[in-house]
Amino acid sequence: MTIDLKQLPQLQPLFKLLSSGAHLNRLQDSELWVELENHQSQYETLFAALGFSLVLDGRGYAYFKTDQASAYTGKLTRRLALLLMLLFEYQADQGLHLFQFQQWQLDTPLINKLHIHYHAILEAEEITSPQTIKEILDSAARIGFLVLEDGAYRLLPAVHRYLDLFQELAQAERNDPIQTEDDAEDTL
Amino acid sequence: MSDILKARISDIKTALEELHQAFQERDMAALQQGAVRIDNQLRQILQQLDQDTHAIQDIAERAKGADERMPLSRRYREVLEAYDRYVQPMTELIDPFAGGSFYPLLEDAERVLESLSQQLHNQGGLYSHQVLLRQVGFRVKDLRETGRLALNQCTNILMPLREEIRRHNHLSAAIGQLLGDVRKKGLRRTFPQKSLPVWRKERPVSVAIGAELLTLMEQVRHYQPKAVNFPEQTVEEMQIPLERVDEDSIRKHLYQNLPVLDLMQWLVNHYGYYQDATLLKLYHKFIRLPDISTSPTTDETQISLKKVRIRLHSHTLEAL
Repeated sequence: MTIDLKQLPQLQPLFKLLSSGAHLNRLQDSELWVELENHQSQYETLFAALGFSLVLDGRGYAYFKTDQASAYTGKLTRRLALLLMLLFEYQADQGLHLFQFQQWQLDTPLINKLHIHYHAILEAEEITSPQTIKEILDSAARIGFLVLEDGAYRLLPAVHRYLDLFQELAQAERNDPIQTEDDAEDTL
Repeated sequence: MSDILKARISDIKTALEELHQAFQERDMAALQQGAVRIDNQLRQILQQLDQDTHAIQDIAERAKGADERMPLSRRYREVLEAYDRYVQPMTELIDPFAGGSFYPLLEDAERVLESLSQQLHNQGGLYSHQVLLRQVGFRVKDLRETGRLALNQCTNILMPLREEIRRHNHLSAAIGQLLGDVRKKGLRRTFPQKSLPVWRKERPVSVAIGAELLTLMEQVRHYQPKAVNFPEQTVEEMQIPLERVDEDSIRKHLYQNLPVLDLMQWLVNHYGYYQDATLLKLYHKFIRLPDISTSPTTDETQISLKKVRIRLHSHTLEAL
């Protein structure tokens, strides 16, 4: 396959964003997104040749898939998973539609409520203050899971990666509870 | 609503039978009456389907347009109810694959009407009667098509909304289940590390030349060695020639001679052959020996050494 680099004018910003580990979101970076979608196969080939596996999800986000994580990333992703679960449970209890998560305003009062409401479970993960929650959200914002606007966080479509995982894990456990327990033991 | 439909269907069934009977009895008035009755029922059904479709569209629009902050269950209650109470029974009734009685009946009616109209034609019946039967037959065909479309439309309107709620419920159930696990066995054991989304920051390694290095290089480029003259060999003789002094033995000698009344005198007497500096050094060392008591004499004495003559209050040494 011949790739004409002249037809990929956004290659540099795209690669810079994706290789920083961040997620490209359709609505946040619409220009890059359109470019990526229009030349998807070229970009995929080009990035694959460089050793990056591009994932483009129709729900509006793209990223470089990797299995290697630093210790820092491992901790952050686990904490973020917990925060997202707590947030979604809380919002569901408020009667909100979970799949409209992109419209939620994750502002300071809500973060404080989460902190109070789930104090014990957060404490167990050494998330002891609303400030720590904000720090986690800030880190997640840097890689495109959220965006900070006017002092409130908003979830971005890339959060679907976690939602898919939640359903997958719960499904697996429902089907075979003993097996997953064993798996959990193995990872220790 | 499906109950009304059922009632109408059974009415059509009876009317068909009567139609059949009337035909056999050659009762043209009853035939006409029966055909009009079926036609009426069919029209009613069509009208009802049309109304129902509109009603369902309204329900969907209300749900979509409702305030987003309204609790989900309330917002979509009508949708779920409409689906459960209307679409589902209608599907069961209409869908031939689900064993619905609607289509078999319509097909039946179509067949009967067709054959009656044909027979009437063969027997040379009134043209207006033939036309009437044929008209009813067309309406039956129309209803078959319209019924399918209406049901499809209702399903298409409600299904996405219903699916949306189901997805919401699935997710919320999944999260509830996982959070239960987290509470029981901890976060780490709930999420195997491999399954979580991860990302990696590629850090390009680059070497840049700092300003300090540039300055240094600039200096190197303009480096000029400083001229340093190599020192010439000096021929001058040393002012103080070196000599070997066995301090330990001198000290021992001193200890044996204690008490010494005049240390300087003693040194000159026994070791006068050393240089002046050496004698003075020894003198100062010995008056500081820790295990000897020293005290300067009150009288000033003069002693001529090799090159200098000194005046001093010489020390007297005694053993402690």
